[in-house]
Amino acid sequence: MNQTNNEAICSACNVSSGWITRAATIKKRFGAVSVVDRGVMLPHCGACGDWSIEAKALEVVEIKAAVAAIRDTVGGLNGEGMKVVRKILGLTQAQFAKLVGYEAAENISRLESGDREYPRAIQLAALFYLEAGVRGEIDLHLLSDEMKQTGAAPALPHDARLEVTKERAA
Amino acid sequence: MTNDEALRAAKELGKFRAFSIRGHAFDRMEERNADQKDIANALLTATKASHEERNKWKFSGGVDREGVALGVVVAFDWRTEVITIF
Repeated sequence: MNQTNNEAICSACNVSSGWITRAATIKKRFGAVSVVDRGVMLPHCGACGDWSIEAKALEVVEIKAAVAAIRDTVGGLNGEGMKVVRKILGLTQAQFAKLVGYEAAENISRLESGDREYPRAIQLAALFYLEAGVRGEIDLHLLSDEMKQTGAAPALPHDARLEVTKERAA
Repeated sequence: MTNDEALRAAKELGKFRAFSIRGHAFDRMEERNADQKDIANALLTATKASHEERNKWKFSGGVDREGVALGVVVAFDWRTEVITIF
């Protein structure tokens, strides 16, 4: 967060009446589902009450909201909600299709524009990457660039003590 | 600051996402289904800067990450803040 300057004029109301740091209410909408975060401490203008948040801090708030929206909603999100999640992951429809194992971007386009249920398995795949972002295992801001360069979904860090093998079918 | 200087500053802000977002702008973002990466892209791709009141500048001609037109009003105060989007 930027250092609070109590003499500063509020750029929203043009009044200088000091800044108060307190919890803000940030509501993020995922289609029909809304997530309200009341725990973000932000500077509020003493005159108009409007708050201010750094873009990078807002990204963290959005990622956490997306995790809660998928995890805590029975049945999960609809297409409109998952479009918001895809944008938080910073991916195009084609990249998101690749990430979750679809052939073409059209599949994601149809899911996002339709009213039918969005497959829970895809939501959980998105959740997997969002939670890896929260844990700091991947930088979600770089996810799109990484997929552009490699053409594939990024590998997540693994425990070097565990060796995983897959048997070939006879 | 001239219009050209403001436009250059906007592109830097977009490149490094070095801006804060006001609560009102956040409400507008929800209405427009835009997020902070869309604002960064709109600043990066803006083609026109025009001076508003005091140290507020309006940037237009830019697009969000899906190519939809998105304008941004920025206040260059002690913090660089996005006041609203249009």
